[in-house]
Amino acid sequence: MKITTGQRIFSVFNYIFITFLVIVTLYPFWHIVMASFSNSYELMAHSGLLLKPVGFSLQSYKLVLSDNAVIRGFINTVILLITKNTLSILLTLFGAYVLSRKLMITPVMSFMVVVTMFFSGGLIPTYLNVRSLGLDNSFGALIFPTAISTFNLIILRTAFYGVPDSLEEAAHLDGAGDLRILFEILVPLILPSIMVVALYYIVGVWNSWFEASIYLRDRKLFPLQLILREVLVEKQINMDSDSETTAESIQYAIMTVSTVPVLIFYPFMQKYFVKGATVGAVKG
Amino acid sequence: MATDVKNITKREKRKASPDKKPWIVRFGRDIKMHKGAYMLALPVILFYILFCYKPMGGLIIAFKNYAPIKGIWGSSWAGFSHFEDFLTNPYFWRLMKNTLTISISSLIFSFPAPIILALLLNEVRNKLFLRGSQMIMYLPHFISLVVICGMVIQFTGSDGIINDFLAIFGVERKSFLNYPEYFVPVYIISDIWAGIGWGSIIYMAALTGIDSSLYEAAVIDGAGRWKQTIYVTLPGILPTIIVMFLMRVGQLLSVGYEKIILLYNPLTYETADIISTYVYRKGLLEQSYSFSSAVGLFNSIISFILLTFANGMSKRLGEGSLW
Amino acid sequence: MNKKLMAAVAFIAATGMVLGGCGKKEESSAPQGEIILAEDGTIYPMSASEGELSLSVFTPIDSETEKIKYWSEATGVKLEFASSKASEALSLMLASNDLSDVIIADLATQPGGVQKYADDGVIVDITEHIDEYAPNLKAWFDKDETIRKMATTDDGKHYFFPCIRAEAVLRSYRGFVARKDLLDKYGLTEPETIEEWENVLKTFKDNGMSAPLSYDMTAFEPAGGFMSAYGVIPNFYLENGEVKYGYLEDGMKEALKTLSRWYSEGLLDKDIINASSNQDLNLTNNKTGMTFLTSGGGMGKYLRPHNGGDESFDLVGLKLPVLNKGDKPKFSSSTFPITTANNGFITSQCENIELAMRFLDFGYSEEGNMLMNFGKEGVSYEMVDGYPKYTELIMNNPDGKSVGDTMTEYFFSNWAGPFAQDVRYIEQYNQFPRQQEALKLWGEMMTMESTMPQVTFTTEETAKISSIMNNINTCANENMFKFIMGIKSVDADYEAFVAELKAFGIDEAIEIYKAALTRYNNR
Repeated sequence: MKITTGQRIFSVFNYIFITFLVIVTLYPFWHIVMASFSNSYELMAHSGLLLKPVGFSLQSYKLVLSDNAVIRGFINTVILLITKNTLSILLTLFGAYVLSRKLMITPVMSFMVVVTMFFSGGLIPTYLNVRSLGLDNSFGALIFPTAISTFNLIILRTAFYGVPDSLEEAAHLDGAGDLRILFEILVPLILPSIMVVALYYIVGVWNSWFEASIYLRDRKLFPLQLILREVLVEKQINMDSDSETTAESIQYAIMTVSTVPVLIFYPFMQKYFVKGATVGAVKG
Repeated sequence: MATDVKNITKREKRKASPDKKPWIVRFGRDIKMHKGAYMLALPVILFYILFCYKPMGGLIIAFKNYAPIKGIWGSSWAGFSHFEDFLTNPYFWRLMKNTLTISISSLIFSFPAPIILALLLNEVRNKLFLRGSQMIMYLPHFISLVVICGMVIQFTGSDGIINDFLAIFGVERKSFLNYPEYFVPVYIISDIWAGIGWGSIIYMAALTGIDSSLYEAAVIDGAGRWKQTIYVTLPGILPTIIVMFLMRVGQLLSVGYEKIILLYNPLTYETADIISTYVYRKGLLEQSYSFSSAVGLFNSIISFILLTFANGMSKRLGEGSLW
Repeated sequence: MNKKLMAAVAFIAATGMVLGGCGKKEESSAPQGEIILAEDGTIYPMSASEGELSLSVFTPIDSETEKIKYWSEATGVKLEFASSKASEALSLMLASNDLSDVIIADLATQPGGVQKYADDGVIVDITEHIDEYAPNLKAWFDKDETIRKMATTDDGKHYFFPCIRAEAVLRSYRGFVARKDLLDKYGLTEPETIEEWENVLKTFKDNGMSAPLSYDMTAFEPAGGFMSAYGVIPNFYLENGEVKYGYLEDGMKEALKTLSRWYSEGLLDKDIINASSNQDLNLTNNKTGMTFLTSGGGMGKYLRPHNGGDESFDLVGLKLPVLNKGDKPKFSSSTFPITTANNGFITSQCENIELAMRFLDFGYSEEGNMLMNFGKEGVSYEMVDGYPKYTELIMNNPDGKSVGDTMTEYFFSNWAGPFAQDVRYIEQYNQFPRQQEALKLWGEMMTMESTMPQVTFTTEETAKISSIMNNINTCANENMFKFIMGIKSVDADYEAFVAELKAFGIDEAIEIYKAALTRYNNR
């Protein structure tokens, strides 16, 4: 392919611009990691950019990682990630597939789904509902009530729309059932979108703490984020109290610990995005 | 035009095929014909009924003086008094104005940012650079809002980095978050800062789905990179953009309170106090559940009207629809 | 999991079921026998003639701490916790109508307060049972009339086991502090009058401080802070038994004028509105010379020697400022002898009220006092010459945890609960002489005469007052800073501000407070 001067200039600016963005977005995380390795007292007195740890110390990590609750929380979160994501992705695929068909029920169902993006019963009725189903104080309370995110459902439906009708029609003529069409023909074609949705679900589970905080009573079931949250929130405890706040560096260590595992996950996801691109090429 | 968009319009037209039989008969036939699809629909419908529609009955507390111990049905009726309280509140118009200012500004500025980023990233040929920069730009999404806002306060403070920079040009130092006129810009810019990378994911995925033969055809027609972007890339991700845009329009009134609460202070109330922060102060801190539920319902209804309108526009323009 | 799934599926049939009808509390499994008693009262740990003693407890206190284990062991009661720090958790528990036996939380500052929970039938009246089941708490009530009065509601009943802070030093644990090392360096003494304050701040400013006076005004002024020099606080208060609201008084105008002048002269932090978030930085970097702190957690944090810090760093407690030398401040930053935090309540669904009463009464007993304040002997404290001395585990934790953190793990005294705080706790928490001095100084200044007591409102009053005060607080906070920062002028704009407060209904709010005060006085 011939590259013109205009394109070359654009390309240079593009790289510079993106590098700038990367630096600007990297900083907060850099700050957190560096702060987590810093000495609490020196950190307190430090102002301005934090490019390297002030008074290097591993104390915060020692405290965080020696806490049983953190380890147990991590295991709970992994269990939730596996069970909930499997269920969520399957249900979302089913729903999106049906919504992209031309069935009689499709318009009704579409409307029913979209309405829920705007109307919900609110906290108390939702809580009562979960209790009446006997799901409280179990992982079920964290898995079922939020199993489908309508937003993700619509993303996948849009992806299904992008697949040429001819492919499915051909499969139908061959006598393939809906399940086979879905999993053997459509899923591979929209894999990048499925990966995005999976990523959204995974991150959703990883970051969520509120449901756990209201439904779970048994501390042994607490997911990681709830435990971390408690440490962070203790900072804002009642004014009437005379107790010291948790050292900042510990809070930062906790944040680092809770972010790193998700980052390790990324490259695997990204592989699929790239694969998706090749699939797209074959499709034409 | 890309195939995706054509497909949608095609479907829309085909939907209305006249049939003389009563609907129940047709429905039965439809089920029989697409047994598999209906089977798949069943758990999804079940989910929505059980976990979304069933609790929705609880919206009734907006019309009651809800006392938890008496339960929803045991509490006394309040009629529309909670709605009245909200609409006649002396701060009502200020709240409304601020909410709309923030959400419309974010629609204009924060919404397109990830799309532009995705398009720029699409032009990056170095795979390692691409992956590296993407991964880093997702990071802020995982940092607790409390921390992000803490940094925003630090950076915009009178001895923060932004003032350090402006001081070079002789600009007087000031704490930006103490001036009502800077609140919305700080809010929007920090929103873009924290959300641009994560927001671009969906567009990146849509980009990978574009048929590469379209580019080849464009090259043969003599189109440069710029023209390819205009005639192939953008139309290719248009359905995704439209869907995202529609959902955004539907949420014009529901700006979350968490971030505002962390950033605002009494001095910036006049531009920063919005419906949800008001409800937070009133509803959550004071446990006026019926009141907050009434405001929530008010919000939902307006959002729903907005969305229906936007969806209708989009449909009429032949650009696809949410339902 | 499978069972739960089945339950979910089975529920389809009942989709249309009436909302809000939720499961009734399950009957407690094992029957409990009589609690075995000694002649002179409860024997701790308690035991029953048959079965196990157990209670379910809702509390924001972390249930996985050592102190909870100690408490359970010492009382002989197995505790099941439904604890959560989420502020919504309490309302949701109430919403589900499935109450734990005991609630240890702050219900008084919830809208409607204790009275509302009593009216709604959430908590039970314990007045009748105190004599019989709570001899230790009764002893406190008999000994101290003020405490009894504060632990009573308007209808003359008792509903809770309070957290008692009887001694002055336990209640006057916060106030203004100044950098003693810098005062000495510039040849200044601790300022007392507004004039002296101004002089000190000017000196600080001239020596390069960018925020000489900086403190969290919204948090500390309402109880009594700088403005008390002018005889006002930005809150309701009493003057000769009359209810007043600070913003409506002339003193407030004067106070705001002074603050506004200081602000423009650079004596007050330019970032005063974010003072609390910049405090660590400003104080340790010599940007701030005077601030507002608590004695234990606050002063202790900065006084404790640390690596690389300034060796000479020193803080001294200050009196609240006054206008003329020798005046006594009208307010103090002290709290009441009972605090609303973590009070013990017994709910209407508690089946064994006697057990719950005796369990909650433990904290006020001799033995309970030691456990709640000092933890376990040999672990968190040692008896040295009859004085419970905290061990190194607490005061100098080998894992490097802060004193506050280890205290929270092993006992209750650095926060609150159903017990009486012991002076020997704060003596040790305030390990530095400067902290002791400050405590003493603040204790001497303590006056609660002008402070609005913890009155309660009727349900109607609650609805009215919360809707009025929501707007008023928004308006007042906004304007206070605008006046201080010179965005509005006190001379030109104050009348309009007062008119706005009146339009929001401040007079009606004062009337409601008056009515509540009358009821309080009649208790």
